Amino acid sequence: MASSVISEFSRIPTSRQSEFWNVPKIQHLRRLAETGSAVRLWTPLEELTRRPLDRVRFTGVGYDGKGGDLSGYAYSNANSAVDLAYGRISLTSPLYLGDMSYGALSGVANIAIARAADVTGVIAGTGEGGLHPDVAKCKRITVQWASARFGVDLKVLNTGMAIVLKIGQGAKPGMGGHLPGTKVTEPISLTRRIPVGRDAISPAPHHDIYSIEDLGQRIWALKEATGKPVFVKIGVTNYVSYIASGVARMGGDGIILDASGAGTGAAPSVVKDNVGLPIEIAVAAVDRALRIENLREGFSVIAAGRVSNAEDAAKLMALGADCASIGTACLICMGCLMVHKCHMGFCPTLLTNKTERDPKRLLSPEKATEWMVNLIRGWTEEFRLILDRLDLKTSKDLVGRKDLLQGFNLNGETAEILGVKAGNPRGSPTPLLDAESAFWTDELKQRLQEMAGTVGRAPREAVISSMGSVGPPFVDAPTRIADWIVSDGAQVTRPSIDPYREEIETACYLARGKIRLSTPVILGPFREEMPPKLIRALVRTASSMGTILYLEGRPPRELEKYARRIFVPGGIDDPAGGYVIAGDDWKERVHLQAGKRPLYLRLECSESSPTSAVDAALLDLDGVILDEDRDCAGRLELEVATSEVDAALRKVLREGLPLRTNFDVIAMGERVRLSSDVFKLCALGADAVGISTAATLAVGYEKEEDASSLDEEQIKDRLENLILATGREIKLLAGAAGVSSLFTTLVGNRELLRAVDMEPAVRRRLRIKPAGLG
Amino acid sequence: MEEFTPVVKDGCGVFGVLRKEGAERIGNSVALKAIECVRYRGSSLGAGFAAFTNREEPRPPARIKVFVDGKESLQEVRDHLSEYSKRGLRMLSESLPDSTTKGVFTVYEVLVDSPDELLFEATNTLNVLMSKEGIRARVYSSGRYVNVYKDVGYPREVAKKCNLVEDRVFADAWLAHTRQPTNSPGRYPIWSHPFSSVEFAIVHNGDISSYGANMEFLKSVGITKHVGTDSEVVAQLLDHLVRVRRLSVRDVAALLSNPYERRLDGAIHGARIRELIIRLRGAQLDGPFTIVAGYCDGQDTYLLGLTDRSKFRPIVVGEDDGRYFVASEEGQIRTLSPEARVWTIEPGMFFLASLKRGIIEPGRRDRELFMGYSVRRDLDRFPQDRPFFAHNVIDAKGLSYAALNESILQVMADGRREVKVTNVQGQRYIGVNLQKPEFLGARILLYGYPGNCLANFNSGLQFIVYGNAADDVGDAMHAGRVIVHGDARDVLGQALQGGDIFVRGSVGNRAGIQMREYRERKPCMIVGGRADDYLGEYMAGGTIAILGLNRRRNHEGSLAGRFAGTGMVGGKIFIRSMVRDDEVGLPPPREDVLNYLYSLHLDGMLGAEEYKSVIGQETLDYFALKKRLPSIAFSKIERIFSGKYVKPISSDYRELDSDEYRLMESRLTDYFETFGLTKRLFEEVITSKFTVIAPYESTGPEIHRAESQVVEE
Repeated sequence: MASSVISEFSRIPTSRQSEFWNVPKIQHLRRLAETGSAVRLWTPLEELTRRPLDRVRFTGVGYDGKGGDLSGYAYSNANSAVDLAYGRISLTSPLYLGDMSYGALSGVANIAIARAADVTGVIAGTGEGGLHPDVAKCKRITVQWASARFGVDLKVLNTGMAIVLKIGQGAKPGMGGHLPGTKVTEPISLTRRIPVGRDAISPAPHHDIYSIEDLGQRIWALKEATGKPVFVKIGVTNYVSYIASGVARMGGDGIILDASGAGTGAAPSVVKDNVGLPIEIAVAAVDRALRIENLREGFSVIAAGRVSNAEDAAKLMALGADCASIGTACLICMGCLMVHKCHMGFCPTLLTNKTERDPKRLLSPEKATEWMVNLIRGWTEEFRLILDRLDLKTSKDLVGRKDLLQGFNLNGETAEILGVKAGNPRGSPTPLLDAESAFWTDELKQRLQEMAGTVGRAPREAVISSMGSVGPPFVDAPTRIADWIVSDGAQVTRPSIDPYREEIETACYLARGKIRLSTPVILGPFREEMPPKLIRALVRTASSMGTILYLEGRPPRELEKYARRIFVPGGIDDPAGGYVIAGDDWKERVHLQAGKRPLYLRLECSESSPTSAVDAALLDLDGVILDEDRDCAGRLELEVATSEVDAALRKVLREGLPLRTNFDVIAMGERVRLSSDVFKLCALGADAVGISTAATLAVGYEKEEDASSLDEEQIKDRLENLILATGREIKLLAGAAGVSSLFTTLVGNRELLRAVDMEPAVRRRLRIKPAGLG
Repeated sequence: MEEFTPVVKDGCGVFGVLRKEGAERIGNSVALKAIECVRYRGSSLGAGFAAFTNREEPRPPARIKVFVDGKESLQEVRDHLSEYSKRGLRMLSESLPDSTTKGVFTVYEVLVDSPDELLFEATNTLNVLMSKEGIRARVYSSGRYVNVYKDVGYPREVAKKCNLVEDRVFADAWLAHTRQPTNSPGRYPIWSHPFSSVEFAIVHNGDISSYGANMEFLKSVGITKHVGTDSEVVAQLLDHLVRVRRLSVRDVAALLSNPYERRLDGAIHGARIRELIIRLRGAQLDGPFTIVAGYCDGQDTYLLGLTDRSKFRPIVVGEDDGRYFVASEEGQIRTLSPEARVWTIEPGMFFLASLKRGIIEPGRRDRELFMGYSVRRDLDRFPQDRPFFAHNVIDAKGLSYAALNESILQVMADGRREVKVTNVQGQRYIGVNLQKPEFLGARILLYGYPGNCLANFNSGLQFIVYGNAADDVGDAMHAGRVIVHGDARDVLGQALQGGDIFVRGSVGNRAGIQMREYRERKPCMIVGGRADDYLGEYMAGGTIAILGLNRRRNHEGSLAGRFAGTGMVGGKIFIRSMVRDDEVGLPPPREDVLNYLYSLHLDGMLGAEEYKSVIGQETLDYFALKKRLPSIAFSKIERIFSGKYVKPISSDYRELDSDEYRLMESRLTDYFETFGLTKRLFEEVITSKFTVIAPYESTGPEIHRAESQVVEE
């Protein structure tokens, strides 16, 4: 028996970090949990973020930036019931309660969620990993068939109202899971049917589902064995509307769209922040595609990912969803404080801590159930009041009513994707970049230093995070164009690849095959005025990690043996791995470089970069280095310059092949931050990307006096760790997209990228498609 | 707002056949029959065929076939081609569509005599002209030797529309396709397969992740108008590389299949292919695909079967006395040729045969280890010495999977615990409805070739297959036994959690992945032949044995593909051959290791002699370096091998120790009895040397174990 039982909310700690689930949102959910009745109608201004859903409103309801007047609306007559799966499942309210597994949550929360579904008549998903015995007693649950088949046999599959075939999740589309043996305690071992203490790994894809017809095969196998409805849960990625059509055509009864910002017990930040589309765009695109295909009737669309209140749910239904799914909101109503530490295993509110047989402290199951029941009742009441305000009698009347919505501060392209009026008479869409915000934030530095092993306990690994929704462009301010770009996640139509256990090649070749880089990350530009031990460490790291250091100056004599891994300015006569010339008059001076090969031209990022790059290629140089840091007239963002230079080089043919084929494009700048910038710049057309400030910050060298506390070997170790971790994160992005070779598949592959709510003029220059179209 | 070309990505069933020299030409009904038997892989949204006929004349006329969407488009197309008549393109005869309704694609066909370059220019400019503001017309076949027939519908409906049901067209080679689109606008024939470019035509199943990079490559060499599918891109790449860049079909196949860097030292993918990959970047394919291509250059006719580096899509190859086959499923080949020799392609390899040269690349080593390769008449047939008609015998011919499962259930409901099913013809899901406590221990005997997902969720029944099994056998099986007298294909026994799977022949990719044990349940998989890549991936318990029973005495190759045991956390794999240490698990690329070693040498941590001797090693794996490097040097290089989430895998080539001997003795006795193998062979096997693969149990501090506070879920 637990010695202490938690049955009240903890005080919400203050945090400097921006978070979608901000304090007013948490307070609202807590009030619902405590009262079980409606608190307000509308989301007040202070809770809104930059996400498109927050820039869409119901028209004609008198929204005043506050919660709305509840007087005279004590009780609503609207009917909130909905049917799912071609009428086989009826819910009293359009709510699906997350798919949180036993293991991700520590038991009590799983039971409270399932019991609350039974009490209120909604439905609860149970996640992968088998059923907790007390959850198995509940009626209104779905059971999950996932890639590892943990804890499922026919008996389990026959429990509950439906089967959820889980392909992916919004927080990490295209990724599997890894529960270390130390977390496989006796209770977990029992439900998953694996030995205590042995790692439990879920593969990234289902290895029997590599295509839409394979998915159909598994849907029909499950139906043949159980006769239950089958929902397919996917992480929302580029081709979401095609996948939804495929699921419907293959006999699925519905699709659970788990979008970006959705919760997770643990996910690599690089995937969480850079893969996946917002739910509002997904719902609108899916609803449209299903209607065109005549597949919408009876098929269920369930929307998940940052659904924070009844108004969010109502808007998503107006955009085309049948039902909203909530997970994070459930945890908050049971006390979650958004401390972002689920993956550490010691949740202060006992929701996600390590599962033990006889825990010392325990969340009160009765209280947690009460909170959950109240949340559902209060939420539903708010939802019905919204129906009243919209003059609608039933939930079903709301589905697909885009005409009830209007945008404000939405760009025209996003409005068209959502299918709502832009409603933006003065044309003031969100700014592309937020110049006010700090660039190298503490969070950013922390991540780099974790990768390098300067802090933390997992050097060389991708940085892990958990619940919550942070990050640009919708919560944190966007500081690079790359922040508006997402990368693809393979869901159903092709398998994602597990970079920890399967081959993803990151090696790339420069200078017509003369230089092989182990990853497309090079170190530079660095100036020769750096402390010598830093330069020595950089050179040795370039050598051991199989990359290049671009040093703007003469390397010390004693480093000559590493010369083949150093690029130097063209004026230097020492042996080097490559030479770099620059300046407006480079064409006149290029003949002086005879015999110096490989030879690169350094260009500032400007409107004239493409022309200069073509000239350099025609003069048989080996490539260009696009340097973002030089000021010049008509200065361009590195993303735009890279894409335009790549495109220009592809347009000019020589001997039947485009100039680009044997000519490199290297992008670099002091503001290149993380692996995701490298990955996106490669997809926009760069062969390799240079990092400089990111590298020095990662090793703990921020200002000159930091040098004295570091020794050369330590710096080298950290730099090596950083490059290995960056390689790992790049592999995670590639694997998520189903890309197994960067060199052949990634470079210039803009089809992997989508612009999310980006300023259309910039998007067109980048040559990428908007998310939700095409 | 600008228009975005939709990206059309398809799942599908594919088929190709090529006659051998001296054999009769092949009628269209063959292609129809072979694709119609996997119609469940496709949909009503598109099908098609391509015929390749080598006409022995210097410059046979070309047949241009165009989809046109109405009268006006038809007129524009005819006007455009007439323009070219001034420059030497002679229109010999034309066939106009019966009716033209605006917005509905119909077929305009014209036979022309023209020099090659002019012909290509005329069709290319026609596509450009007719793609402005949406596609109004599209040339989909324009070869002298190839003729494409395609439309919207299931294969039989399309064959009817194209008058290809009764034998009418006889050709050297055929392709066929049934389409399962992933994308919405599936209702136009322009998106049906095959896709053709000049003399190439291809059918494809998969979703190519390199699509964007391939498009950039094609656009940059001047091929700018596309209907928006990754399949069309493949046809255009093949044609461009062979016709314009003058590469051989074999080299192009090797280039497109995009071999792993670690494969670039082999006989098929030598240094020349590496050089091509660097020079022709953007022409390689990534992501899952099965591609069947045909090509005729007037000299010879080729059939090509291509699979991706991980072999994510199904592909089987067959051969009989007169023909070569490439198909999605074995059933397609068996329908045409019950006794054909059948094998599969190794991941990242390709099958290439030509009419005159025969097999150029078989697509794999060790074909003879596949039971389907040696014709085994005794296995595919129902035993003749017993009465054919009995209450427990079901003839599966023509039955759907649901009807077959229901029939088996009824026989069992009558109290019988042995059911024989004859003429099994690719039905999927056999036995998934039988998992009831009262049926435990029952035996289901299957004669023929069961389809995918046999014995999934099995909790205590015995399934015996007299023939080859397909993909996904025994998924999430908890107890019971599956016995396959032939071969099994990919993903055999995924998440096998109890019971045994015995296969007499060979198995495909990812056999035994996620096998695991729990309490008294210790699953076992024994394979008589060999296994392909990713054997026992994520394995967490139980035993896998790969025996190579039919190999030749002097056989030296490995009985397993690459990446055996990768991600393994429990259990043991026994392979009765040497397996190179760097083919176990997922080691870093050799080039990266060499680079680090060189750097250690430059840093002065590795003397010149030591450096030389280390890099002289055949494999540079974790344990070899641990043994040979000074500890300080090893502590540095170790970081490129180990990670927090992945444990090293140990691999030893040796005789069994006493515990292993006892374990294998009991398992193998069962296996040998099941297949009636001799005692002598048993003795020979159990005393052989095995490569024993298991998770490495760390004793020293240098291995980074997963730390306790981190959960990834």
